[in-house]
Amino acid sequence: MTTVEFEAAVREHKDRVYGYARSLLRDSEDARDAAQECLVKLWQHKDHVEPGLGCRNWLLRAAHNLCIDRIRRRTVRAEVVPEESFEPTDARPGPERLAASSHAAGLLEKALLGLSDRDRAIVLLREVEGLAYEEIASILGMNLGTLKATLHRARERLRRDLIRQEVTP
Amino acid sequence: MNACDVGRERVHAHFDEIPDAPASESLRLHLQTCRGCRELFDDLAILRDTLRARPRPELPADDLEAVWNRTVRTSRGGWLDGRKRAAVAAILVTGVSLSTLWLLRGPSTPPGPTAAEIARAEAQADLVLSYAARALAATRTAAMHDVIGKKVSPAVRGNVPADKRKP
Repeated sequence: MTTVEFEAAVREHKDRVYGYARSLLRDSEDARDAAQECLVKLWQHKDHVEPGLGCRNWLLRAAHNLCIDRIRRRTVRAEVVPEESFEPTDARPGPERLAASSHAAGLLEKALLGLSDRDRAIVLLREVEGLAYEEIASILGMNLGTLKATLHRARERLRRDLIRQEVTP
Repeated sequence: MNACDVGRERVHAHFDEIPDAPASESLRLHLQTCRGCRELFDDLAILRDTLRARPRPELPADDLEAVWNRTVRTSRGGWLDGRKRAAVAAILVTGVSLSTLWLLRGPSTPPGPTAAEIARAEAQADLVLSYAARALAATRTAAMHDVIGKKVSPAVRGNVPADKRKP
């Protein structure tokens, strides 16, 4: 990866890395540090990273490992990300559905925080980042069977939590 | 209402494989008859959409600036970037190696003679010279005898009369 390609990769993936770190760490300051560290790490390894999807996966893997290290090191703080920062902004067909989802968005964040770090990572990588199972398995070092079963359980857990809060239709 | 076991697996498999595709015909028929699975399907669809609609927070500009300072700008501000440094180092190492090799294996200058060797060589040279001098002296004497004995022409002797000399 050349310097120009590195700059393009940073511009393309910086928010992805930061968002992922923030979702895992539940602390925006910590996430900023982790994102910086992750992008600097990419610079240090740029000669061994291919641009494109390989770079995206490399960054997500690096971000994941950095976040897990930080989580292990620190005393877990019960910090809840403000709900308004995650208000959905896109428009999807169906006003009723949109309204329901909009209402659910903030509570969904709380439900996500109820998942373990690993389960939350799986949900985010699959449903938010849209990674293939093989890619997630490689990033997290899991086999496919365990990965799918974990994702199914996490989905059901999120659903139960949301039903409990009466945000699903 | 709870989804049935078979239906639950199929609903999850649907979202696993092709989450955006419409339900397959068999799944669609099942959802028409199983209320629990239909609710699960709808809830997972909303969950997926809500997760996807999550706005992605932007990395603050300060942090991006810090990343540039710690990466690209450091490289540009320096003498050479990493690759160029590596190339220069390789050239230097190659040059030093070749020079060392040349010094070790190249034509070496023989060491100079010692004072004793020089003295011995001079003595031998003087001896040879004395032999040569003696030989020359003997030759000269013989030549004189030849001239005196008129074994050679007057021209050789150098006493030809001027009127008889060839032009």
